[in-house]
Amino acid sequence: MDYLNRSILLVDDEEEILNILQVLLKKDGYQRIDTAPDCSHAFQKAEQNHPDLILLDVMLPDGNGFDLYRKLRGITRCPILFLSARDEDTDRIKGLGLGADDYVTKPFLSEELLLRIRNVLLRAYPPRENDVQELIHLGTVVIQFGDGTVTKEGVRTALTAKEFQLLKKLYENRGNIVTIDTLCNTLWDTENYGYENTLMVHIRHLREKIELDPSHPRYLITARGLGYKLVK
Amino acid sequence: MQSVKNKIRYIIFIIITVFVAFTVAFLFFLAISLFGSQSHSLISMRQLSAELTPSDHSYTLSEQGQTMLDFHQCFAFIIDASGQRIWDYQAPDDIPQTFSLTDINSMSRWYLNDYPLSTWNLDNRILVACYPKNSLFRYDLIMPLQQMMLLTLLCVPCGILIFSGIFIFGTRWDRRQKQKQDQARIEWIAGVSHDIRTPLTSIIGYAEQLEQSGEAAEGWQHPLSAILDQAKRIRLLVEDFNLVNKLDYGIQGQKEIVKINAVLRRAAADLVNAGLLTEAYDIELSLTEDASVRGDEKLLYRLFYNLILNSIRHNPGGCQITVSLRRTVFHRITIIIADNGCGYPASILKKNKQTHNPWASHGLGLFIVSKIVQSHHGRLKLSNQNGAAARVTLPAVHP
Repeated sequence: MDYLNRSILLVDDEEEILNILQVLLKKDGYQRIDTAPDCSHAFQKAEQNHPDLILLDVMLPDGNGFDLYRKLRGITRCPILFLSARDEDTDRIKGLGLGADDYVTKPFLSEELLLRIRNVLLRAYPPRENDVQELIHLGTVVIQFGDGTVTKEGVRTALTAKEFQLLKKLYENRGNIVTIDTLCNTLWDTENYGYENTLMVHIRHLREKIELDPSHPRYLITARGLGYKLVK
Repeated sequence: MQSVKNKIRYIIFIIITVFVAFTVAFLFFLAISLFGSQSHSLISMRQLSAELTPSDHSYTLSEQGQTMLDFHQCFAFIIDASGQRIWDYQAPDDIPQTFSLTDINSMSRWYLNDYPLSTWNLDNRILVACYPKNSLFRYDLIMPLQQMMLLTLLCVPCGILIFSGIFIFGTRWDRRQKQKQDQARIEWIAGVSHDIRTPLTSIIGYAEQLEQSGEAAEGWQHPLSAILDQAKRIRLLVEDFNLVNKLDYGIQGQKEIVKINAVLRRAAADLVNAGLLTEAYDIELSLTEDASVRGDEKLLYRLFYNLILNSIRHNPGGCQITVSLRRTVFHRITIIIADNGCGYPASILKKNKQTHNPWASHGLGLFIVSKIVQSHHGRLKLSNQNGAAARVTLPAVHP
């Protein structure tokens, strides 16, 4: 939970929105939050406090967010997200084209915004390897992504590279169906057709390692015709 | 489709223009030949000759004839067969007494001492009426018939060139004006939706916080979640409205190769993940063939998402939904999204062909669907079989 210690600068001219964002972030566990109502204050605070992430509105009273972005890039390399009520593709492309780390439109859903901020922080400040020694429990089966092993009924087996990628993708979307196509793209990184049968083979092998009864899976479920799901 | 219509319109316009040009030219010519000589600035030689009465070796001009000549500031004279000027009315000094054959020949074609003139055969003599110098233009035209016809024919392509030039310039100007208008409207709608979004952010933000805090007073949990749901609905509406705005003005998204099966699966999977496609619905995807379409993946996703969502929304008690894809003739694919539910209302099936006023009663969902299909050069057919069936035909790319 290292990323929660990162400092965040919120730039928006709407006081209500700054308020909502602060409450939202604080509740999610962020401690170091600062706000600025316009470009000049934002620049000043960015220069003094060196925030780890900046959330930037596009339309500000004393200039626009795109210009402020360019100016900020002169003093900091920290990730910057745009948060704008403008949903024009041109704005989105302009923002991302400048090199922004994400572009979120208002009104945002709080859960989505928090996830995006977390993802950007994790990408910009990757946690050290020994931090990811997380253990995942599927009933009595324990998965360890750190060294790519599965422990079932006291027997430890290593995952193959493909099985590892597959399980990781499913785990990242735990509780949701991941389509066949997405899984194939993850494993083979190619646009070619006809990998679906090979995917099924990998799924079968994976089930043998993580399911107590592979022919009646409880954790790695098939969504008929759509894809697979790792149960939460 | 639109471009073919435009081309036909263009051709018809040119044909009409050419026809009109010919008619106008013809009428113009007719007018000149009919009325030109009867113009008020010219003397009618027939009338003048009628005002002359022969006497001995000379003539007398009636008063009316004199007024006629005076009015036009003209003078007149008569030459007999031997070239003698036997009578005149106010002929100036530079008009000779006798005329040779060559004089007569040249004056009958051009001018006499720079006086423009008209001639008239009077018995065996020639009546000449001269106008003031520099008052009339006269040109004797003679050329081979073939050349004349060639010239006339040359006028046709010249006319067509000129008219089509005007037409092309006109339509281009017109299009530019329309583009400007469209751009203004797009920006206006974008501005309005921006102004709606900002306050909506506060509403959703606070409502979410209040709901999650669990601090809403007793009995207010339901109104609170209603506020949140409705605000989220407005949010989706604004998004749809923006999308329609873009689609309506022909702003098409990316053109990339999109695997249709992947999009169909993702749309269905997302509906399951969002908790909308629940256990009550039995969805069956029979995607035995792979096919790709050139288009915008986001829009195509939206298209199928909306169609499946439609089946869910209109059959709240659950139903069977089948999604199938098959290849048809001319490298086209047909995707059928059908259910065994209550079917489309009659008003939608009627509107199927002409989506004039889709907002009125059915929301933006199907309207967006039809616009996306249109922007991908496809066809949408809605019908009621065992339930509702939407048939989307799209041009596929070669595998």
